[in-house]
Amino acid sequence: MNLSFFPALFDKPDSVHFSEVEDSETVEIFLRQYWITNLNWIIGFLFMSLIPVLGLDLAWIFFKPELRFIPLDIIISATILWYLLSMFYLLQSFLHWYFNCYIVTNLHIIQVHFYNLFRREITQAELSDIQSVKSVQQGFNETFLNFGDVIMETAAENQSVEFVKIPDPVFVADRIQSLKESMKK
Amino acid sequence: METTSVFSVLLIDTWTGLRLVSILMAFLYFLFSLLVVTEVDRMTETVETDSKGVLRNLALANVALAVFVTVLFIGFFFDASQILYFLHLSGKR
Repeated sequence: MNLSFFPALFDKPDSVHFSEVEDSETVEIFLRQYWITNLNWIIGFLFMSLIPVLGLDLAWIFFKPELRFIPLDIIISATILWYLLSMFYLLQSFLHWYFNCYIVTNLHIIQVHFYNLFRREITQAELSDIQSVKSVQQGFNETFLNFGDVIMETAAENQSVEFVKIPDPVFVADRIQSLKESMKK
Repeated sequence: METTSVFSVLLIDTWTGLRLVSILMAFLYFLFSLLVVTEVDRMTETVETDSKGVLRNLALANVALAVFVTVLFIGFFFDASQILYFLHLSGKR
């Protein structure tokens, strides 16, 4: 099951380029978190959008005398501000999902962590430094919808690279393993 | 115990104070929208994908929305004579 609106797995993408790649390097897999991870903020945004509609109706029923004292322009502006706040939440959450990506090239594993508008982190590990690759799927959702984590242990002590909640983790782990083996040849 | 509103200290009534706060919030959203454009530009330079143009256009539409809301609030709450009155008041203080 995949939604084209939130594509999360690109195998050998032609249109994806990472700025810090070497000349001989090609992008093999480009990944984002599975679309279902977006449900939380989508539901949150829909809920936030409904609050002024329901809230004003309820307030009008229970606090009608008090509401009469509030100027109409204040009520309208508060509603607009609430929707701006909802937009802020929507944009921040969407950008978090969109820019949080994982790239597997024929030479490197790259993790782009976009925490928020003020903090981002890019981690690179050489494919040759990867010691082991394993895929983890746990719980009903992950098994049923086929998404999960891929965990790679690197040569550096106590350091691992994790692809979190990505689609088809078994396929991704296999591809990384085969890329690693083809490097050795 | 008698309570004093923050706005009364500034010699403005509560509703006018709330209107000014609304304009300030809209302006802050405008700053946020500019930040989104900058970040979208920076990130799409780092990881270039097909949807680069769409994302930038959306970010710019968000800036347009922020400008529209800020101007709407100013026009909605105050006419020019009221703005001049406030400038005159602040000049007096």
